[in-house]
Amino acid sequence: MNRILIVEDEEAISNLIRMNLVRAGYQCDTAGDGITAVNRLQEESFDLVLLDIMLPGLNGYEVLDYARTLETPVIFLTAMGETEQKVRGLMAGAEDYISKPFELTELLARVSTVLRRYNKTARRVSFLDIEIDTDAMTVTKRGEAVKLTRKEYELLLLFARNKNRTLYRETIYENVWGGEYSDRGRTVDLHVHRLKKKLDLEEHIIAMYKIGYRLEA
Amino acid sequence: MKLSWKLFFITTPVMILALTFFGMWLIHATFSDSLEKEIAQCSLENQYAATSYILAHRAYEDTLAGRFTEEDVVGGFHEAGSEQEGCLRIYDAGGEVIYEDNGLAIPNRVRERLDERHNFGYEICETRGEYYVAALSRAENGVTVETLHRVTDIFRDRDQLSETYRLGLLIASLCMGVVIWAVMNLSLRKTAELSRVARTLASGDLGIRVRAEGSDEIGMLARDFNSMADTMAEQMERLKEEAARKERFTSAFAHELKTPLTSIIGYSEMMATMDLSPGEIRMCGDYINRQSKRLQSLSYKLLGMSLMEKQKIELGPIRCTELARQVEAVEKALVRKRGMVWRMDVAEGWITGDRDLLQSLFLNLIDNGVKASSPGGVILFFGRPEGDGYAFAVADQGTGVAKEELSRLTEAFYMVDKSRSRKEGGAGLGLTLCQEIAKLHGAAMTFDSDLGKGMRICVRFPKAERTGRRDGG
Repeated sequence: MNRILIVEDEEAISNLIRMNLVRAGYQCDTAGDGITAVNRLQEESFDLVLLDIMLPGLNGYEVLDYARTLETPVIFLTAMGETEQKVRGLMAGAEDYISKPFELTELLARVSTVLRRYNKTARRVSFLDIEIDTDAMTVTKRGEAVKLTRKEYELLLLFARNKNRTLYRETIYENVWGGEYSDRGRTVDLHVHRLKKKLDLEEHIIAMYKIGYRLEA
Repeated sequence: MKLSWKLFFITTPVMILALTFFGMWLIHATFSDSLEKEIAQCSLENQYAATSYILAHRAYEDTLAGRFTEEDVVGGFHEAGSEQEGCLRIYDAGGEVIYEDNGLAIPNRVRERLDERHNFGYEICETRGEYYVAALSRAENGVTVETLHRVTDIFRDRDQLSETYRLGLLIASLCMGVVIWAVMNLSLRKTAELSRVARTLASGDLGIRVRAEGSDEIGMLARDFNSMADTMAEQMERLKEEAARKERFTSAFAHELKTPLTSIIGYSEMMATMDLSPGEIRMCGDYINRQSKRLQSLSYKLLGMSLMEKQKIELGPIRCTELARQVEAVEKALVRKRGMVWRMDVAEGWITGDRDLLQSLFLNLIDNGVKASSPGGVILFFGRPEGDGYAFAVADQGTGVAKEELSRLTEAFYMVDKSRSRKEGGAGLGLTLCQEIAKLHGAAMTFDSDLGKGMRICVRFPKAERTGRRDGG
């Protein structure tokens, strides 16, 4: 299980991130200021740090410098949406950034991407009788290989990583296809339908009226 | 062409011309004067010779009564002796030369011009490089006496003088030209420096200045130039500061806006997309509610700020003790409830202002003091006339603010201690509002504090006006 340290002085945001990461299966710790953050990093080892830039005590950049010495990857949170801050953070060695306000799926996607980059995620994601090997990009159901197209594979991975969470059609589209979502093509519906058939998931991928889909497992 | 060369080329010929004319005139005047004197001298000699001749002629006539010739007279005249050696010639009435003391004959036309009425005349004639004044007198019997007087020296003197003057003029002109050129160049070198400095300024180095010395126009220009550069640099600095302040405001505003938005969006997304327990739903709802209220209070304060910037307020005379009593009525209880000591010491005085705005100004300042203080601390509200105006002070014994942060206190969204201010429900706009109110009253607000030393805020009002109306913004 991956351990993540959340450094954020706004309790509401810190709690929001913690709740979602815990639900996604991460173990979380929080720090409300820079000095506490550095102390926690000193005492324990973390797989990832989510770091707010504007912090009381030490500021985010200083915590970032410290985390780099421990070779712990850092994703920083910025409220400004300011290029300068993003560039400075990335130059200082942060892996990625998330601008506030953010969507929860975006947060989870970025977290898992960075962890994967550091080979810190489980290579296998499994639910029900389905197993996904993220290195080989293969899917097996009851031990038998299932052939999926690239998009179907990514769609499945998205559902698997967001079990029991309703995904908006927009979110699905943006994550799998990328770019701006337009409802016209019903691409998402078509692919979800094919995926359900191929993997026999009719009972588990549930359409939520006017919202999107949810994988129940 | 450079200005020094222009001046050189203009002044030098003008000067040469002027000096030439003056010199010519002077030389000519001197020459005419000398010549006239010579002519006078010459006429005198001629008159003398003519008179001598006439006297001799008369003597002959008296004694020899017609039995003599002009030659005899002349002979006698010659024997009688004349000082005009080598210059005398006598013609008879027919124009024949009857006497000549040497061969010096200078042709002239004076004799032809003489008649009964004009019996004297002269002419300046030149022969073989020599100048003479030929003077002629006609006697009653038609005999003409001619005397010659050499004036070559005067002409030679004139020529020599002209020569010398020309040479002198040439040298003087050259010297003067060089001097003018040098002086111009020296004074104009300053302008070269000025233009160099102006170029440097234009390229963005606002610190550079000209050495300003001398009280001449160039020195004045240099000083004016420097003061212009000072003003420019000041203005640039102000603009930069203004821009930086605006940027800080924008980014601080974005931060203040995005932080509650993040929570609201996140928690509502959770509620919409996840199966939550009733307890979790309540928690999400609570977060959304609190963060929305934070946005609301932010929008109210921003609204208040922009309103204050626009509205025209009525300013009237306010009695300081009365204003203080109103403030005390609100704050005293609050301060005591927090376990602090309230002290007020406000002297009589008048200021011009808006009662409600001023009240909210002091309430805000005192609230800040209360927030920074711990139980047992003293909150002091103080007022005294100061010079023509009146000064209020609010002092506390709380945590204080580091000296470096004092200048940013009135900046919108600036919070010395973010987490604590939030808990107290601040948005970082209180002192910004106070500053706006003070500005509307033409009052200056100053902060004096250091970490752990409490805070002292002074608001100095200008002299009270009888009646007043001031435009906001």
